[in-house]
Amino acid sequence: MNEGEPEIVKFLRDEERLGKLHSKLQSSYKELEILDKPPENVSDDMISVISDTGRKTGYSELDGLEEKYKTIFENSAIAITLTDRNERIILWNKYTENLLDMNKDDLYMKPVELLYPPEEWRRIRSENVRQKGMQHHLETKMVRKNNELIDVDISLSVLKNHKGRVIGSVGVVRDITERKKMEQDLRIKDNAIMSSINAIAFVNLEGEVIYVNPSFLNMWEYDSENRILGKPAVDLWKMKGQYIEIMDALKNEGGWVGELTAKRGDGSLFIVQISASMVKDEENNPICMMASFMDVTDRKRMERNLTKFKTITDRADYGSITYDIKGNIFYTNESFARMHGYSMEEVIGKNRSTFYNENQVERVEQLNDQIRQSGSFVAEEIWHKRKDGTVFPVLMTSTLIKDEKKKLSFLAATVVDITDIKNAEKKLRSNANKLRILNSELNLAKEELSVLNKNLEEKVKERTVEIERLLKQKDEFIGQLGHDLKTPLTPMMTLLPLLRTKMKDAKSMEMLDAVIRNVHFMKDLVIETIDLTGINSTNMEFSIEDIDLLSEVNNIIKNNQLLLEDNNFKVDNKINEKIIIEADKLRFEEIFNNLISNAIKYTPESGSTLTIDAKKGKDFVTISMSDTGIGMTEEQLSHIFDEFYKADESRHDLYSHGLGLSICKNIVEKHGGKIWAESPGKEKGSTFYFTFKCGGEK
Amino acid sequence: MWWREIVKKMFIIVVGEKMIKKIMIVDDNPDILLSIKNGLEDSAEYKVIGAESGEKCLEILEAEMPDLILLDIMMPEMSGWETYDRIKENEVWRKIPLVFLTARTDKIARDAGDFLGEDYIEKPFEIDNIMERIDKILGR
Repeated sequence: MNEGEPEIVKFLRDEERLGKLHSKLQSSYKELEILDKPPENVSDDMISVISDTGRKTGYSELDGLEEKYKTIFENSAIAITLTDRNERIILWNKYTENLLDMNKDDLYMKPVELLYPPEEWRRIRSENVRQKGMQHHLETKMVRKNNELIDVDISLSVLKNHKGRVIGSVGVVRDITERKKMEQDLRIKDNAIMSSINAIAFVNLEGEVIYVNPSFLNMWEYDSENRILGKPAVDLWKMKGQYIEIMDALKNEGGWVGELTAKRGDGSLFIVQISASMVKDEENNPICMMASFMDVTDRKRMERNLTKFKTITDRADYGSITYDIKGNIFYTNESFARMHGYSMEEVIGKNRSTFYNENQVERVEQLNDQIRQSGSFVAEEIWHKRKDGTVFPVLMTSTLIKDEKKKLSFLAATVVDITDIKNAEKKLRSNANKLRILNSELNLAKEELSVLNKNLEEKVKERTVEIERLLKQKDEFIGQLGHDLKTPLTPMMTLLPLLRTKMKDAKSMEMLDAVIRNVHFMKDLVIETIDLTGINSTNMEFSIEDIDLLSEVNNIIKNNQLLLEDNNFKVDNKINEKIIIEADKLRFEEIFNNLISNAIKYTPESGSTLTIDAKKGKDFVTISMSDTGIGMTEEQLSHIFDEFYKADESRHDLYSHGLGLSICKNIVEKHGGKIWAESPGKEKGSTFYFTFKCGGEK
Repeated sequence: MWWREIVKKMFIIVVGEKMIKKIMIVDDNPDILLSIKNGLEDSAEYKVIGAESGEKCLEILEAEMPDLILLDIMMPEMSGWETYDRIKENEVWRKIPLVFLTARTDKIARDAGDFLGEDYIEKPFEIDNIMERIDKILGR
């Protein structure tokens, strides 16, 4: 404030100088007294003043000085007013007239009181300047001629004569209206900064933060400005490079506006919009930098969402338009335009009614009313018109969009072409009808079928009974044939060996031997055929009992002892625990007899060993018998249990009828078990396995 | 063989007529009768009496007591079962050991044998089987 003051004020403000002015004024007082009062009263004072000063400095010097002060007084850019002891204005300079817009008539000998608003005058009086007799400095208001108030700064001094009596006062008035206004402006600005919702910061040329407003603290989440003041401003940002760029722009161009990612004390980031500028003095020298910030994180997010929604809408395969209250379209997506046979440019600016089907205008108007009342309507099927005039069904919804002030802003409509759906619906309906017809036909067919089915079932039942009867007949026939064959075999078997003993001719003996062999083969064949039919027949019964496997196997080996010894076979019975099985004893023995005779038949070299073993499982015992015979191929393994199968057809083995294993299989299966064979291959021996249920206390 | 005949004659001289077992065979098939007669009598230890029916069997029994009867089951007119019953009715005859001859091997035949407590021999048989069984029953 002081810097712009004219030199004279500095001069006057100087205590000493002011004192001199006082003297000067006091020296002029004589003249003033003459104008006002009887001269005789004044003369002493004046003389004394003059003689007093004259004694010290010399008159001519004083005379020159007075002239100098007078010039200063007149030309001073501050108002100086003198009053007499009755507070009437007696002297003023040119600037006073300018300041108060008054002339001599308005001022001369007028009470000084008139220059102030009454309340200000009372304040001045209450200061009691005259009685205190001291220089006083105060800010007050003065009234101009046109009653306009002006802010002033007044220095009041009491003028006294040499006897110390008050003879008047001098007021030095400065117009401070401008300063006042500036001060007020500054206060407003300060308040504005303080209360701004935008964050504001000042940074000095060294890059240190020197001021922040509460919004700034809030935005950066600092609890006190002490935490940020004096700190380098670069720390407020995520990217140092960007900050430096902005500082350069500020220095070179004086301002920068843009967006930046800010960093809080805890490291969290947010986006701010910045408006920064360089603060400069009158001579355009930079003083500091000022920036205001707006947190736009939310806005950014919204912008992104908006972009997303717009993209979705732009590319959507449903039609979307927005239009004002009069129906003028200002946005359309590609789908809407294409759907109606227009280009997007053609649609923009057209009225919504362009797309109405004339027959439905009324309904559309109803819908529009509904929108205005309730804000939207639920999806409705209406007909729209294409550019070529053809119509097509659409499903439409419309919504009223309001701005923040709840004022109607625009309307948005979504339109889906449902031609395909409609066609499909129609087709579906006709298909449903066809389906109904087909269904009833099907039901008829079903009924017929169920009748046929019933007949078929009966027929199958009949046939099954018939087949069972025939099968039984077959078994009976074979059985009967077998029994009938047994009787004629008996004399052959008994008489032929007898004949043999009586034979003396070697050639006849050889022939008889052939007959005997074949009689025995025939006997075996007959017996086993009967056996097989007996096991096959459904009413075949077994006398199942608990059998001790080890003793039973030993028994069987003993019964076959002669046969085994004749063929030089040894048996290795590896069963070493007590195992009880459920079986028909005779049938069980038959299995072993068959397997033993097979093993002997198919083991060419003598001195072999048969290995018998058993393994007890949870429910079943697996019994195995291994030989060292000719073994079997995979092909043979899969057929050996078939009736009349012979492992080697070409051998034309007269002494093997191929029923043995088939009988074994039947017996095992009738007992609920399984039988199978394994062989590593030709000449590598075979192992037969069969299972029987565990017996006794399981 | 000539020496067999000599052995047979010598056996009879040594053990006496009493030691020769009388075996009665009842079967409607004359060939069976023939074969068993020849087979058993080939050995000097047996004398065979043949009967071609149940009636004939009972008739012979009136006059002659065999050591053992071989009885065929399947015969026309009087069956083996019936003949068996008639034999068992007689206080004296019932003590004669009896073995059924049968071509049936099914369970019924077996049960019948078991039930009647008598032995049975399946047809067809070899003469050695018969001898073995006879000797076993007669405790030889």
